[in-house]
Amino acid sequence: MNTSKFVAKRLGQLVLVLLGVTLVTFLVSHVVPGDPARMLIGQRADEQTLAAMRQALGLDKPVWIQYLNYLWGLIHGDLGTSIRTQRPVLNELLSFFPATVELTLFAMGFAVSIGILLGLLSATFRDTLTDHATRILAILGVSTPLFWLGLMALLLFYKYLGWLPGSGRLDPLINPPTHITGLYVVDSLISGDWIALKSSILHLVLPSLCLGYIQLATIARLVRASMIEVLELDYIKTASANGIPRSRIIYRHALRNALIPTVTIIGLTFGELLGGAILTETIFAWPGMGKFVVDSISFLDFPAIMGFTLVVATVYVLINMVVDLLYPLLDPQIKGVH
Amino acid sequence: MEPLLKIKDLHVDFLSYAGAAHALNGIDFELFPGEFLGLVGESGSGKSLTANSVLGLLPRKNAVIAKGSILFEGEELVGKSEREYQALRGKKISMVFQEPMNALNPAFKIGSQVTEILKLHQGVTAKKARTEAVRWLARVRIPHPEEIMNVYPFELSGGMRQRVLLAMALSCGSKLLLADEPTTALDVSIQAQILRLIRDTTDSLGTSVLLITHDLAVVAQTCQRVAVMYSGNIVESGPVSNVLRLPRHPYTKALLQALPHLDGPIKALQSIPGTVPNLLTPPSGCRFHPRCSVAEKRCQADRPKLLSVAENHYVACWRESHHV
Repeated sequence: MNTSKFVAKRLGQLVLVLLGVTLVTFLVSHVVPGDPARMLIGQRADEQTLAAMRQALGLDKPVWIQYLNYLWGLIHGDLGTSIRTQRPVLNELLSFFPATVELTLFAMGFAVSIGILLGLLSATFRDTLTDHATRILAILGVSTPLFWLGLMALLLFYKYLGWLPGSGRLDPLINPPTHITGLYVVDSLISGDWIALKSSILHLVLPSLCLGYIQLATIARLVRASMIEVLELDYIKTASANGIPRSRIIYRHALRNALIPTVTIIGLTFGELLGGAILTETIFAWPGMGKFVVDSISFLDFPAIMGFTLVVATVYVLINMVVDLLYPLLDPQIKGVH
Repeated sequence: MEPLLKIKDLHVDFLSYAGAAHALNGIDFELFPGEFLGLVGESGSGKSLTANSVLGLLPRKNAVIAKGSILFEGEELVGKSEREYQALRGKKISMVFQEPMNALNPAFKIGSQVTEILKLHQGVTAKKARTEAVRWLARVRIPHPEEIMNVYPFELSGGMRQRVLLAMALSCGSKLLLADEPTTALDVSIQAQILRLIRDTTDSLGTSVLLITHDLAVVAQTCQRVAVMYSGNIVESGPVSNVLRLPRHPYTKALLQALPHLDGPIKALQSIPGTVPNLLTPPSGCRFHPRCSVAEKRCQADRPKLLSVAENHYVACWRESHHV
């Protein structure tokens, strides 16, 4: 099967996945106790106002009609109106999306680069002090709760040492760079706004390190395991017998093959981080989608929650598609086997 | 003539929790320039271990050369550093392995794997390395070598892969080729082709070959001289015609009797009673004595030395050489 057919098939599957997601989120939002109309008008409003509000929100109709209305809106690019902010959910999500993407990209960059490096070190110096130290670091990573790690990092680097800012994307006194991509680092680079660049990078350090740490641990453990496996294989022995230096064997012959399973995890991780930035964004007051959705949850703002879920699901499926497209580049045997 | 490779009293130990296993128990042999020597024996007799010791490819963690010497072109290899070995591997001494299916890196094209070695050892440009690589692929009789340069290993058959590996092993002018069961994993018709190819190519290059095999037929077809190994010792060595026709060691005799014959009367195959000894607790004296039909008292007590019984023919057996 060629690439375009594969992509078309995957996009078709995406539609099915999204349909499933809408069904689940819609049902859940209507099973959960709590009345958005009541939330909106307050506890003291009379029954008449409540009924009017329910009618305005479409909550008076049968559930399946509400669902079909919702789907109809989706087809037309309408994710509904946020109950809390009274603005279209799509606009809200789009305005918060870049902040989350920026945070996720930095966290991923950190997790992937350091994770692969640690995994390599660990496998190369297997059963030495380096290996043990790396593995302890990795085990800490997978077992430390994010909220605790974030708070400790804030206490240490923000409160006591004062080295790094603790909240937001920029110093409050600095103007955001001209909006081009919405990623402050990229925008300030493009527009040559060095003050905003420095401030936005400093603001990224703590949240992205905290967010990336768990993934770093997973990647390091995976790279270690697959490197150790690959280094035992026959072609590594052939390379040794042909006089290829050990360092070259490790970074060229072995790493290339060990990265194949790692790429899958990196893809999944990216989706996970996008959706999982909720805690990090809350701790560091990062104005991204995660923070938006937390605020929406406390307000029972179902259209907003459903919109967020839909966006995360879409990104997830798309990233996995990209990963599948990357495989043939890494592993020639997969070429054309999709 | 000076030998190209001279192994003297080589002892290799495997360290395990249960103690040291003396996997090579003092072996001696010489290999002369241009010679084709077969090393035969059962699994676990130490054939591959011998070849791996020469190339410094013993598993670093648990195998050590306890004693002995390996001289290559008069130079001591035992105790060389990893870096010194690297300069030797693929350039002066090469090795091909048993499993061609997994011996090439699945992620790189054939061309990239062959040229990598040429660039490394000969310092030639990428372009020159490519021409050289194509020439070598043609030399090991690979059809359409230009096209093969651009395919991945999984697109080739086992026989073709073994040819590629042979080209890689010989391309930098190695003087010694260690061939560790190079045809065992291939089917019989391909086996003969590959053996002939190895013999013809190394003949024309003047490369010496140490062919490791458990197949006496392979030895008969290709080798000039043969050394028979049993449990970490060489028990008999000499010209192929002498050893296979007039074996002197009881183990060699038993091996030859275990071969099926297509001509002659049909009878049950003879097998050697018992099993290969446990290397952690090897038998005293001659390690073959518990399975030997003609063992005497002193076979239990003392280990026989490899001594000459005829011209170039050596046997390590109390009943053969020592009472002469």
